Amino acid sequence: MTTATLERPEVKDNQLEHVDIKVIDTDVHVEPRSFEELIPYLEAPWRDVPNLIASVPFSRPTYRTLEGGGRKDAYPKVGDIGSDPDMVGQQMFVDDPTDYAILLPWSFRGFTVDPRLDTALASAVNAWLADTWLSKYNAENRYVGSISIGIDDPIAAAKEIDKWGEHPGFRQVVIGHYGPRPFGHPIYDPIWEAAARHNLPIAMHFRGGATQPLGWTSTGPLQYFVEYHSLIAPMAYGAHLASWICNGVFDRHPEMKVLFIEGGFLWFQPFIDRLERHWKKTGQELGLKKTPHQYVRDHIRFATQPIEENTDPHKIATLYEEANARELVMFSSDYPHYDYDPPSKALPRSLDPEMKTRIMYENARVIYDLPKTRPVDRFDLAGGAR
Amino acid sequence: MKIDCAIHPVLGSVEFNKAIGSPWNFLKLPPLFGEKYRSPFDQLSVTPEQAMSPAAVAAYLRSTDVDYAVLSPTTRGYWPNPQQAAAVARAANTLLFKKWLESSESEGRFLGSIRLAMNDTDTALREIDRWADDDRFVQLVVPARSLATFGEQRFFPIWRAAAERGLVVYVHDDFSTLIEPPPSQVGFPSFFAEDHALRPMASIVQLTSFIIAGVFERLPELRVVFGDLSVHAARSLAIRTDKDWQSDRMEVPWVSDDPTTYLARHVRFVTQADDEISPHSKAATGTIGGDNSSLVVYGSRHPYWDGAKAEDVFPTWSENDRARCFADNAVEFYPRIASRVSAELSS
Repeated sequence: MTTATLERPEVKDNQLEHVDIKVIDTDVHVEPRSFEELIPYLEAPWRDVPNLIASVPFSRPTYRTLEGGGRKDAYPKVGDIGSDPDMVGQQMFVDDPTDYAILLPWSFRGFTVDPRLDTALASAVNAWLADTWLSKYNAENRYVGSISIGIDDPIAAAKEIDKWGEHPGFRQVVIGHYGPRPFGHPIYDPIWEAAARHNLPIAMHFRGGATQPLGWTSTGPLQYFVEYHSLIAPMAYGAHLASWICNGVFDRHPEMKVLFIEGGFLWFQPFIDRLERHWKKTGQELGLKKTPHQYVRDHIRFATQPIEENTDPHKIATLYEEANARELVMFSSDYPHYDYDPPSKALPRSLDPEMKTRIMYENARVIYDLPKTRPVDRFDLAGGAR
Repeated sequence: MKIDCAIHPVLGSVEFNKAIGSPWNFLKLPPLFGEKYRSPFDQLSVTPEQAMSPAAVAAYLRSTDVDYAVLSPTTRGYWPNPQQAAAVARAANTLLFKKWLESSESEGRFLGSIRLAMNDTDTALREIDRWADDDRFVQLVVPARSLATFGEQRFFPIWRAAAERGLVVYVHDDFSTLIEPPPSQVGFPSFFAEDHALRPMASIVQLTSFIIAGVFERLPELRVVFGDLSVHAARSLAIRTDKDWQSDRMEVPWVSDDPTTYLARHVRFVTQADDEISPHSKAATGTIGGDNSSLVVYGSRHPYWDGAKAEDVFPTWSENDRARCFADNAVEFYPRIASRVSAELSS
């Protein structure tokens, strides 16, 4: 008696198919669905303080866009923009596909005047991010995290960096634009030292906080959000940049990298030209090794959104060349905010392919030490054809 | 023809203090360049006596072939007491008039600026009236750091007076400090090099404020010159403001054009030393988004150390473009210089 013997199925290569990394988004904001979600992540004694989270002003009413702040299609049924993992996954990785999203939790901005509480909140945000967006919501490993710190207490901030520094999900430290002194001041050194210890870049994103005179400039307060949104970040970033250079911070931490987010990049060239032009005279008391432009090239990167444009599209490539965007600029979308730049349309078409490649992913890939390829996952299968 | 739009005669401590007069004069005036950020070198390119001398400045202008020079001395910072501030502004104007404009060494080269104290608009308007009938005064001079942004309504009558009387508004750092918010919005930097690099920021804030608050929209004749801000620094941030205005114009419905359009229409920039090394300076047009050769006016910033030398200004531009920067742009932009030059040509 014979019996039919079917062909033994061949064992499939269990290596997942890989695709090349083509888009890294350096500015994506996520939130808890409700700030109450942070409570279990707070350490004692804060966890048990009645109404603590409810009393933290998580947003400030000044300098807000009349447009509402969020992408109109990014509001979930429950919770704020950037808080629904299904919606974020769909919009980030399927609708306008991105390979890696660098997360900057919007929920922690240094909203209290009590540095101990700020440190506790930062710590809770990190524990929450690690547990949710870097674990539960991150089966595909497309989210990359940022360590939040309380900048007003640099020693505690350094400890927080040490706590998460070797966690594979956290690839940078995120700070706001405000401190009572520019950040080259020695009081802040423990932070840069800790970041350097773990090879973590510093991402600076402007944001409101309780201790800062928001919108106040060297000549009084700004009147309009348009002024605030176009000037406040570049002006603060310039002050910190000059301060890091002049205080020798980059000489002390040769590997330190700083990414300026949502502050544009065109401003830096004229700003640094002014410092550079007189460097032999003005820098003589500082005893530094390099010139300002060399420090920028070695230590500073800029994120694109809101991308700077030119009324004359033929001239825009020149603008990018003049600002050395090839080496210094990294793509960002600012998802899920109203002025989101989609990766497929962010860069002007007139840029050469090599510059586009470097801006869209390669510069960021090197800074964050991310792989060149990643496994195909459900988002790709959901139709995110590129 | 060559016009130097940025000559900064130094008002000596003794003469200035005397001109301020009792009871507002100080036993000792604050130092010219402030107390906080000490430069590791001398910030004057000539001796203090030469910086204070009409004859020496006239000789400098002759040596650089300058036909007209717009003089704007500083007044050692923002004076908080409004009566005292008014006395200081008037003293500066009186000294400029008597010692400089009326001096025989001037040989008709010196043109003046009406210094205003920004604490009190009514007093500032009276100060304009005091001097503006003399057509040698071609501009108002206001400090870049004025504790408030120039788009605020409280300043509007000053800008209206400037537009009505054909006076340019010259925004210029007034160095020293009596009352002093930090030079950056994130506090006091540690070194002179930083402070010097950050100075143009206040001018950028004022420029943006003029545009966004609608001052240029309401005063089509208003003309503003920035003394310490390079055209490139201004444009690089104005391009950014263009973008923000596109998405947030609902907030400022009176702004009917791109911010950079107002910039080109209403604003000029004194040449800065950093223009020499800027990649944006390689061509007169087409870099950083527009025709920059029509937006710069030559100013040496004599006797300050960080001025621009005529021979170093925009070295790669065509002779024609450089000529516009040395004279034509100023003649077109300053109404009172235009009348003077056309009267001279027709005589």
